[in-house]
Amino acid sequence: MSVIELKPGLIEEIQKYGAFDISACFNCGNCTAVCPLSNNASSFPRPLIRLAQVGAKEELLKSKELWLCYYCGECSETCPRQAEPGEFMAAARRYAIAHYDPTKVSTIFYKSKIFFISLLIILAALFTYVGNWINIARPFPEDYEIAGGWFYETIHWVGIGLGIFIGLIALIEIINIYRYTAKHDEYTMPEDYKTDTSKLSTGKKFSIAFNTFFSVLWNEVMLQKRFQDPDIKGKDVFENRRYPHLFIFWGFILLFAVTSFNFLVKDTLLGLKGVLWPWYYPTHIVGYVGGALLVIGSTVMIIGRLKKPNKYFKNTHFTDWAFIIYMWLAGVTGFLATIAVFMYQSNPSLTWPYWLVIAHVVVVAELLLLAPFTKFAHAIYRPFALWFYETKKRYHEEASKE
Amino acid sequence: MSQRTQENEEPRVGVFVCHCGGNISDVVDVEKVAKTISKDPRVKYATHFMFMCSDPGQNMVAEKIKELKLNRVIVAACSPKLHELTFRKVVAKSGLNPYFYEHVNIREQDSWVHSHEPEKATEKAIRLIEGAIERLTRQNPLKPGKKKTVPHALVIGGGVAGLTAALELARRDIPVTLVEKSPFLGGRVTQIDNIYPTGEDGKDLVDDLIQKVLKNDLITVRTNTEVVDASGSIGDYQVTLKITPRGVEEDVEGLDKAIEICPISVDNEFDYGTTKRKAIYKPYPKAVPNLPAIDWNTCTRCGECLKATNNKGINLNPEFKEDTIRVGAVVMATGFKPYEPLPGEYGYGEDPNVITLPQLIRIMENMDPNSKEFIYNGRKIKKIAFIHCVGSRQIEGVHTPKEGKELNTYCSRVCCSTTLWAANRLKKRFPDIHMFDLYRDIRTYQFYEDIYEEASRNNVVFVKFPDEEIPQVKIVKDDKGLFRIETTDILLRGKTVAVPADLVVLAVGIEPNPIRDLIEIFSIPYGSGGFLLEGHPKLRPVESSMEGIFLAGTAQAPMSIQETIIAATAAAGKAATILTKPEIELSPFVASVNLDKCEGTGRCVQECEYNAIELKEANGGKKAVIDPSLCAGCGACVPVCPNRAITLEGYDIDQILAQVEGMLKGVKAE
Repeated sequence: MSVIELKPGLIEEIQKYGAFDISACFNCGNCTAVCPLSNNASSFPRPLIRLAQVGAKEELLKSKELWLCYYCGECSETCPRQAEPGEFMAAARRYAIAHYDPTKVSTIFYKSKIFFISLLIILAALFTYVGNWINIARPFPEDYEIAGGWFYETIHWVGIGLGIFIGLIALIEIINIYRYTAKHDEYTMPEDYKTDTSKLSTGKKFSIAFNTFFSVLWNEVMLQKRFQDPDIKGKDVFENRRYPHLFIFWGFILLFAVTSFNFLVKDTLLGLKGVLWPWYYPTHIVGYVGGALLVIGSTVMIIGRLKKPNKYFKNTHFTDWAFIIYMWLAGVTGFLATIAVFMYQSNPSLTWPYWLVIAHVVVVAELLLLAPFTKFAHAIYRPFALWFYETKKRYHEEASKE
Repeated sequence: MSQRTQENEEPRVGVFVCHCGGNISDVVDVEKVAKTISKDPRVKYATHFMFMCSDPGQNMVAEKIKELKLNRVIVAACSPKLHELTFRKVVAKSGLNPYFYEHVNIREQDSWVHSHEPEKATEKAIRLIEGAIERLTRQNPLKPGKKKTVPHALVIGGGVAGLTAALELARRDIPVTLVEKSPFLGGRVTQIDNIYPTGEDGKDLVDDLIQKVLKNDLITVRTNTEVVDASGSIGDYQVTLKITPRGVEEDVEGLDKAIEICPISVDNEFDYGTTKRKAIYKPYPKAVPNLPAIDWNTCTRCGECLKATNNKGINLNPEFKEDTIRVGAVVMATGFKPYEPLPGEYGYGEDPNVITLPQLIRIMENMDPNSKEFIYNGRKIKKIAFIHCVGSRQIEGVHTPKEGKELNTYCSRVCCSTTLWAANRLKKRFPDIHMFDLYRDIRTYQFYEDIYEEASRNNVVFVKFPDEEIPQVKIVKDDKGLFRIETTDILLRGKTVAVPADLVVLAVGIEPNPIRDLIEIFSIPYGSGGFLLEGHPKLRPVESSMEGIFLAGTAQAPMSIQETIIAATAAAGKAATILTKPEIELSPFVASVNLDKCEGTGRCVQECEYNAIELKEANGGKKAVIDPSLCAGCGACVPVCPNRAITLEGYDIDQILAQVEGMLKGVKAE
């Protein structure tokens, strides 16, 4: 059996990522007794807390199980020492995000509110300035075009640049989570569950991985079924976590699809650069729907977190706030920018549409730029971790059948 | 009430059978018992009653003695341990010799053990009573012996227990001699600089007691003094003391200088060997008596010290004296010593950075108070690993006993709290320090739970290892630390973990001070680990079963300072109950020797556990002589005598044979 090297100070380190007090924990296991994820085959969350407590850093970072928890808060509710195990799990995920991140920027983000907020402001100023500066090369404001020409070039080149950057980081992050977690045995599983999976053929393994990929994609990503768990579901609209989450997810997907379509098909393939289709065209309609989903979803989430109707909403980390607020801002400025573009088309002498569009571009650019380093990164880690977990579990099930 | 003369009277026996509220009568047919017994012509009265021990029950016995002129009484009830004394008093009050009473146990030895066979149980009750009648009718009126007490107490040990016991005895106007083997008073508590919960220095704490003791005229303090021999028994001991001279006889100028220039340097036991001291030394500046002492084992008598004091005050060739004192009771406050790990036990002795908890406490006191970093042996200590239960709760096959000793199977009780108290102090002083606590079970009982709580808040990492798996300390000297300790963490689902550390602190247990000589001198029973044994853990917690010996503090068991003071106070109180009375009543059930029959074989002397028998010149030959104040009446000497020269009063051979006959009356051999 391999020896777990303990790293002193791990718990203090994770403590910087969230408002929990796990030093109060004396390993009673009440959290595990109430956790809906605990069953005969695996126990949550005590084993993970223990890993952090003793300083088993590598083991903790290798745990796919961190991502199985959706923070229902039952454990925090039941903890006799008010150690907030649920918040610990969230903090541990932030810690993991910071560690999978190749640039380590997230480490600073999570730990320093001042740094994070100043960075948001500086980036906003920078994007505004750069965007404006490039445009200023042309006479301004009398002679600019929102839907084509220089301004068009600016945002699209910046966008493509951002896209490549984010894509690269995301790729490294996927490789990292694979490297860390995929092969590692589940720590929360009992010993007898650890069958020898080496006897499974590569083909068999591949087919299992292939199947679980789609089941995770469908159930966990597209339908967010896990939120249907009665423990997490909540009683009213602000307590419900599945629908706001689904709204934001699909809103984002739709908007991303429309933007990509406009750029790749309309502008590039059809050569209709600078042409503004009428407001009722299907691309616009899809955009409206996506924007509406995003705004509604994030609005409900913001109200929910302000109202704190139940234990789940008790703690909101500032990076989480930033993420939701940026989502909301992206949606709202998106609508305003769309209106602005149409207004400009009917009256090109107006100058305010320009600033609205700039505002939207800045918000979206920041949101995307920070995606791999903040809460947004869970969009990468969680599905992959769940996929690896399901796959590994199926390997064991199949291996024990043989 | 004057005692009637019963010797010449015909035996008139009264038998009282107790129901014990059903405990007996649910099984034993008490009515049948009383009826059957009353047929015996010697029995003038036999009855049964719900609770004999109740006031109506006791009154009934007294009334019937008067009314029917009974001169022998039998109560068949519970164990004599519970109520023999109760009825003996009733009998005595009624004017009979208190030993004309017999308590027959028909509960523990009958109804409780034979609850499934009520008929046989009834028969057994009858037979037990029959036997008692036979013995009792042959009983002589016994008279307990008496002995004058010497109203003076001896307290052995000048630590917190001894000081407290001495003060408590003096408070009751009893003169005390306090004997301390070492040259200084105060004991182990002076070695602890910060005591839970007040953070007080142990030296100040003890100094308070010492000053009170020194001011008290009733207390004679003798340091550098050992008990080397004793004779006598409860109420009157003759104790021989050996007095080691201090060497320093006067407080003269230049003594500090004398210490400085002494060329001998040895391990300082006050700091558990973490520092050095000279052959002329004082453990700490305010030590009492405040004169340095010479350690004769290491002093070479080179005379260097005399140069510093102008040949004054120091005598390098003094006399070793002996003295004898007479005392009525002895309080054993001989204290403890920390367990010294075996070489190689958890790396102890293999690397200087493996230390014991008492050493850590000394190191912490001796540390530069301004230092921002914990430096030990030239190494900055960033990570500390504590290992609990070192030398305590040892398990056969897992731990190695010391040569010629048994395993310490007991829990030392105070090490958990002391360890975490030290950990919290370290964390407060050096906030960046990381601490691992490798334990089997944490026992921070009572309010010590606060210490555990604080340690947990201080992020001390607790690693629970299984009883049978000893953590393996390896010296690695890598970038993570000086040591790498591999151990199993039960709470981590039994995984093996590697704990890095720059300093390993062994939370060693408590062992009684080696006082085998004193144990032999006073014949004190001792138990597990060599701790002195109390008479009964609940009913006689501070008394030895050797009468006249009282136990105070850690000589008896591992205790905290607070518990030690409680125990010492109790021991002094108990000792006072003897010393404040002018005489001691001795038990009449003692063995005596018929000197005509005795041939001085000495077999009884070997057999006696209480050193009560001696061979002395008498009647023209060596004869066994029994000291009734030492005899416990166990009877062990009776059967070993080839000449049947020894009789146990109250249980002589005729009586016992008659009792057996009585029990077996009418029983046919199968």
